[in-house]
Amino acid sequence: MDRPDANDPTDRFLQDVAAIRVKAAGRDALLLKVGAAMMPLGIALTVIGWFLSRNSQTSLDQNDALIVAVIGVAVAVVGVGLFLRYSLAEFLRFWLARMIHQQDLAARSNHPTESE
Amino acid sequence: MTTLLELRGIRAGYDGLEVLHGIDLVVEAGSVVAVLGPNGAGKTTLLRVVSGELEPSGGDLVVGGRRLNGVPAATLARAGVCTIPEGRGVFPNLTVRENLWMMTHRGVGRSEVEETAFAYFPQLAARTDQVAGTMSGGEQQMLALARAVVTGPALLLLDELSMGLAPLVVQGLFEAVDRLARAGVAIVIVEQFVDAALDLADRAVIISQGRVSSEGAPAQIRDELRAAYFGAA
Repeated sequence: MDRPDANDPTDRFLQDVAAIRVKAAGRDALLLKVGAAMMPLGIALTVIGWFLSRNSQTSLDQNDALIVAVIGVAVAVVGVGLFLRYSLAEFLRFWLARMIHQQDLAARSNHPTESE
Repeated sequence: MTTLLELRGIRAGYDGLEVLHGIDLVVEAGSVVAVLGPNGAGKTTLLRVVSGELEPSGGDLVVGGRRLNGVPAATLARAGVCTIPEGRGVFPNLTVRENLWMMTHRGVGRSEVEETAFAYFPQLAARTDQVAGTMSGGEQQMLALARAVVTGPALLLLDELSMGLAPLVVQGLFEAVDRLARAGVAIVIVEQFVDAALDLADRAVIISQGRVSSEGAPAQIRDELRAAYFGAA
């Protein structure tokens, strides 16, 4: 069966494929783990900052400890963000796919196929 | 001819169970490749790897000359890899028009989408406000094909296009697929209607137990299948 060469859609396709950014393998899983690790690390830093401040007599040292604690809070917040971003994405994809599948099943059970 | 898709030693599976054990396949621009085989052979898994839905555990998925293992399906869809899954894949609670509008993700406007779809399938023009779930199986499959056409795909993956449909309806759908192929779209079609698929295809591949057991011209594959089922002449 003879067919014409597909120049236009092929050229566009090759251009679009060339523009695809390929993530490093397992990047999403790695970032999820980094986020999970950052949460307790941030909390630990905050607690360490509190202990440093409590055991200090000078305001300069206490200011340093305050900064450690603030960094700890920031690390924890970033960790929460990363964790939610990469855990929810997978869950939401699954939830959407399941919803579409259930709607499709419901539609098919109400409407038999032509060959039946 | 430009090679659009190349699978090199593809291995894939689910939850540690390997289904594909080293699949090699080449699809050139504007060609039709029929993937045949018994139930459970791995045909749908193969399409899921190509579409990006399933990341292969081994081997290379080379699309347009680039290794794209692990690239999300949405990214490949935006680039021009279009899949019509087993079971149509239309949104049953949306109307025909709304289903078509869902395909504007490649930057094509709504009116252009409708114009293209109705040019290929004039029957859909009379049903624009009908809810897709109330259409017959053949009409839903027609809508699924229309949704694929409007995206201007370069590579179209069809999984069991004829499933559950009457032969006359299947014939109409295959004629539409043939028109797409003549327009230059590369097509990989998984089918159990062997004769219809072989009439359409430029090449055919038989997959059995996750491996390519035979590959060649449709006439050769037809003879091999006939010999396998009915004995050599």
